[in-house]
Amino acid sequence: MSIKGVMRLVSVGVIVLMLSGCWNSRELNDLAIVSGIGIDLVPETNEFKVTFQLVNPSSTATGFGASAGEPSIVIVSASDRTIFGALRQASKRATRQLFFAHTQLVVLGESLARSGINDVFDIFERSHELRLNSAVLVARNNDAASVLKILTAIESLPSLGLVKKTQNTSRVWGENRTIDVFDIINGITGEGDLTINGVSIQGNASEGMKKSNLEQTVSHAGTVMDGLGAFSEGKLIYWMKDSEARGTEWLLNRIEETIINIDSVDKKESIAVNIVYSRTKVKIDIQDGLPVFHVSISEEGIVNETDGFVDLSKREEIVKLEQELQEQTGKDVRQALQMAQQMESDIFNFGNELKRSDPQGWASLDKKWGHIFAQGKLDLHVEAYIRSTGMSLKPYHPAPE
Amino acid sequence: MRKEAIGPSQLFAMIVLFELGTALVVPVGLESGHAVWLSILMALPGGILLYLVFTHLYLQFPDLIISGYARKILGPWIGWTVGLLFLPVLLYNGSRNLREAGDLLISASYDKTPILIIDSIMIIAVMYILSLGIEVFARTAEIFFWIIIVMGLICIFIVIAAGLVELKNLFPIHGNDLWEALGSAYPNIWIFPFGEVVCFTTILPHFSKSRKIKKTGIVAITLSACLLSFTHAIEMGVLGENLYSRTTFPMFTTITLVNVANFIQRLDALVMLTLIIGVFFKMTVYCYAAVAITADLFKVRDSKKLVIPAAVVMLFSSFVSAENYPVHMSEGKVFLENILPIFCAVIPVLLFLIHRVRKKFGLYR
Amino acid sequence: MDKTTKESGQAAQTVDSAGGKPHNPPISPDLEENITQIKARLGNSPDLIIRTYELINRTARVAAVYMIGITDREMVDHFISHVMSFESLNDDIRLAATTAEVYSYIKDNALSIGKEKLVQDINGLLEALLSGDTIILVDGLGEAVSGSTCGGEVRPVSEASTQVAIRGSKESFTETISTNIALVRKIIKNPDLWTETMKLGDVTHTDITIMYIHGIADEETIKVFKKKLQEIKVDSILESGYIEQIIEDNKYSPFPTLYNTERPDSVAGNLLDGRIAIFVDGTPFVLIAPTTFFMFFHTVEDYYQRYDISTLIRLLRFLCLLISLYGPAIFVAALNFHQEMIPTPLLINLASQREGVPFPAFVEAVMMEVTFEIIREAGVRMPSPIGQTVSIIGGLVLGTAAVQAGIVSPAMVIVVSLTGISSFATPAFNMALSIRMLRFIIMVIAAFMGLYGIAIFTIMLIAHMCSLRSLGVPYMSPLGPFVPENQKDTFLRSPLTFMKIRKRLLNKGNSSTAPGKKTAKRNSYEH
Repeated sequence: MSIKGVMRLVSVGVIVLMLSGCWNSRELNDLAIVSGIGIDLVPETNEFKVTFQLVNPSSTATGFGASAGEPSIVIVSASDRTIFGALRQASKRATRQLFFAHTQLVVLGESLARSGINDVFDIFERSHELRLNSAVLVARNNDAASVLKILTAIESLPSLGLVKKTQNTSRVWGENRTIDVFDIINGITGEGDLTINGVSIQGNASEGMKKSNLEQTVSHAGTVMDGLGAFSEGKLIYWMKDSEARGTEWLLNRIEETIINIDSVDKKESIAVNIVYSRTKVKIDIQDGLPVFHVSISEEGIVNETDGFVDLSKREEIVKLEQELQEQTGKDVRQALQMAQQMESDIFNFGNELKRSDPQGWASLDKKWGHIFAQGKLDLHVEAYIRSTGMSLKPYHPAPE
Repeated sequence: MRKEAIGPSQLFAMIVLFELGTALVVPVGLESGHAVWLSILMALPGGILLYLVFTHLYLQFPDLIISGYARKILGPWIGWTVGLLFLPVLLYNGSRNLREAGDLLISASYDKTPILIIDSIMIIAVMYILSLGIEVFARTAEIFFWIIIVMGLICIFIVIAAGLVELKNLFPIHGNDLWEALGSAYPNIWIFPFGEVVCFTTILPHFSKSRKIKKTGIVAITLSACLLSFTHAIEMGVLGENLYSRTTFPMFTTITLVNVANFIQRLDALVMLTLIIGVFFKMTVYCYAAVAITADLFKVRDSKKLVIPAAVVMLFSSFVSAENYPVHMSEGKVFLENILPIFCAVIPVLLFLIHRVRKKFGLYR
Repeated sequence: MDKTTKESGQAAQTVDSAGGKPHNPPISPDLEENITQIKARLGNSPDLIIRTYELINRTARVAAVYMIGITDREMVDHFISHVMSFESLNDDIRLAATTAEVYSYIKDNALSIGKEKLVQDINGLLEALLSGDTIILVDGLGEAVSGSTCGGEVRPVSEASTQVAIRGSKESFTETISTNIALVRKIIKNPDLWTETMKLGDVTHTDITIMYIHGIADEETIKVFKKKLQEIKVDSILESGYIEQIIEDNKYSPFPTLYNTERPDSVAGNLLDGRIAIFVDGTPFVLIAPTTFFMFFHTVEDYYQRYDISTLIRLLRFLCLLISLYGPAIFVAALNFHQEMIPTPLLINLASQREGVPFPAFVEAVMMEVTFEIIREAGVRMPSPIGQTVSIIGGLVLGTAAVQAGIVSPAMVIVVSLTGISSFATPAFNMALSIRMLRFIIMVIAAFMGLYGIAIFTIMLIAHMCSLRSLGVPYMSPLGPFVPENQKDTFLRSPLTFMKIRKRLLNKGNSSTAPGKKTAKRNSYEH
């Protein structure tokens, strides 16, 4: 290569760099990081009211700025007929361009959920900035904006705090599961219906917005995971709780860990069994034009607490416990299915399963699946094992005389 | 000027990179459902057969590229015309790759940057590497082969580690699905990406070890088919049939779902890099093929002079050819179904048959 | 023995400048004329010593000429007395001898010591004289005897200062070429260790020695290399760097294609791999060619430590290469273009750090990098005790102060210092410099085009590296072209027992200057 060649290369490089400008270059200081999005429906105008929870970087824990007195988040809302329109409308109120790639949480207001959510999620799939794995919650008995406004103790970002709450309770309690935008899109496009976790505000919502709320040991207001919303045709129709919710998770094979309280001889619900492993297998076939749901659940648990006297060193006692467990689990599952069948809403993905395993059979039922689902029969098998009784065998209570 | 030589491992790397190219990132086999991975494997034997046709012709005329032996086989006039017809096809196909890369970049990250800039930066790289010669290109391919493999492994490992793959989405495969898979394997997947190996007819004359040509190519094509099949199986397993068929870049969507321990997330950059590298190599091969054929047809001695015109044509046709991505995709469908098979399969096979016939009946002077 | 030591006379004669082409007369039979000539040519340098002797009762006049300072005094005396031992001979022979007989006696006696030679002309005489020889001139004869009495002040062999090894020989080269050659010979005691000497530099007449192992090094490469050296036309060669820059294949490449070392064991190891070493008088840095890119990341110590740790350290070095090349660029690209890539907690952390920083990330990065380069350069040029202080003040005080003043973000300081330290992990200093230079280019590109720019630039960079050749050996081998055998010793360092086959590419180089044989040769190593 001659010196001419080098010069040519250099000049081409310089021109290209100059031409390219920095079109997509954005400084971090010019971005408002959105940590949570709340979507509500304004019934009068039929517009979306979109609420953004923006991170205030100078007041997060590691901040160097002097403004430590500000809360860690700022709430901005805007309304428009489309969600994207609202995103851009928000520019009138925010000093920086909203940046959505780190949205952790999407909250839907209950009124929106009741009137249908199917149209909301297209932008999440289409946009490269919005992510598909943001968690989704429904604000129970409330609008999404209020949920986003509540500050959370310990966590500096309330949205992240809510996501962690969801994860935490899904992991150990089992009435919820983490549901993200991707799951919802799959639910909408799939054959069945879907469920979304609910969150509600407890306490005085207007106090919850203040930073002073966090400066005491008991907050005036806080967010609580509250039930599992069952949707039918994209509309929220019923809030499931307790055993219904857990039964749903069981049928969806999404139980990671949960607690089942079992009656002992003398006391009700006095033995706590921690289910540490559970696996659900679902098979569906069609008998006489009606589906039969073959569900087999196998679970393993650890006895973590006994109140009355149970002599766990005896095998018979353990077997008894295991039978109780199976019964309890079966009860949950039946309740959940019953409820869903009442609503004619297949929230358990049974339709997808049938379509996958028997496309021809599915084709004959496709049109009226909701109706047929409601008449389906459950064929349930539960196997429960007690793997361990913790650090002790017999309780310190004396055996009842 | 000495003749540039390419060794077996270099040809191997080039073929693999070429095959993976865009096929890794965009959906292949337009109609196949959840059995797309099977379609890819089904198309493999056809791809290998096609490659054997190319190598057979190469072994018969070891110093000639396709337009050269087309003239030998079909006579100077028809052969020359056939060679000329290859030019627009190669340039257009190369520009399609460029367009796909540009569009992914724009829709993924560079939404405010003009596509002209994005494309021309890549074209400059193509010009640069071709000006260094095919041998340097081959060596570069060898190095990037490893980079792609490593990046691919990282991507796949992370996707699997994130627990996103649901085998449920891949099975079961019913009788219908098999037919469907076969239908999308032939001719679609057979042509794209396997048939596109026709470009290598212009590179084979540089191959230094004609003994190994069959083995090298077959292994490379098989490996790339397996990689493609595996990647698309994973994409399908993660996204499900529905989303896979809807999304413009399944691999990109797949990787955005990754979230390992709240720390490893949004690995879009890796996919972008994979695509850039893949498209770069594919485009360079197309550009080289076009340049080589032009040089051969018009008796240009210093073929490097043709690099810049060819690359510029490619650049402009990439954004003139379609107004937007949907149009680009539908054009692509027409192109893939009607035009590409003629050049990737029909013409080479015809050449092969006519050559056999002429040879058998001693029709060569 | 009569002895008259004359100090240099005042022969005021116009002499051609050294740069021009002085005429080269043969040595004249007249001793006086020769002496005048020498004095004139050397411009009456005071370090020129001419001792004249009159032998055989003043019938034969002999002069010993040498330069003080570059000759060893004892050796000169020894040499002269050896030559003059004629005087101690039996009177019968002594008195009967003619001048010619005296001269032949002197000649025989001198030559029997070894390393002595005859010179015919003034230029040859001067060259020998300036190389530290002592010249014996005999009146009446057009010929002179020169004896090597090379000496003078030399730096003793000391510890290597630029390529330190924890384990391994502590010797390093000195400025004296003969010592350096000897240091290598001490390691490779083999008759096949061949050397060839030439003088380069029209003014400096610097001694250059090529060393290779006959039978291992590729003949073709040696021939090409020698041709290249002979074609060098320069006034001066002050350091091996001159040769490096002149014979480089691709002058516009940022990458060095010759390796330099001051460690004899490193030279020996490379010779055994089939490479060629070039010794230049006056510098402890020996050049090695041909090189490959990966060679710059290997050290001799890799072979002294056990294979497992050596492999890990090598991989670490390549990691450092990546960090020092891409570190700030990727940071800038991520901050400005790909904020979604950064994990959320980290992004919020970074955002809070950058809150209040008045500069764009790119400016911040360039500022810090330049500061770092200034500190480094100042630290190198300062006397070593102060150099340390400069680094500490620069690094610690400036960094901390800049962060506290809110001018740069702490994360940027971390990235910049990490890249700075990483660049020092490259064993070859010249390679580290190239990488540092490229780092700035990549940073600029990252600021304009983000990761896409980095990717395209990387493709072009690797293509460029693949196009380089060092004496015909592809620079990126054994990766491109891929040589499976050499993978044992590229990124990895397999146990010594696994590496029985010598590295292939080097003893069968594919020289770009051998057109016809190209294909055949490639096959032999790509097999």
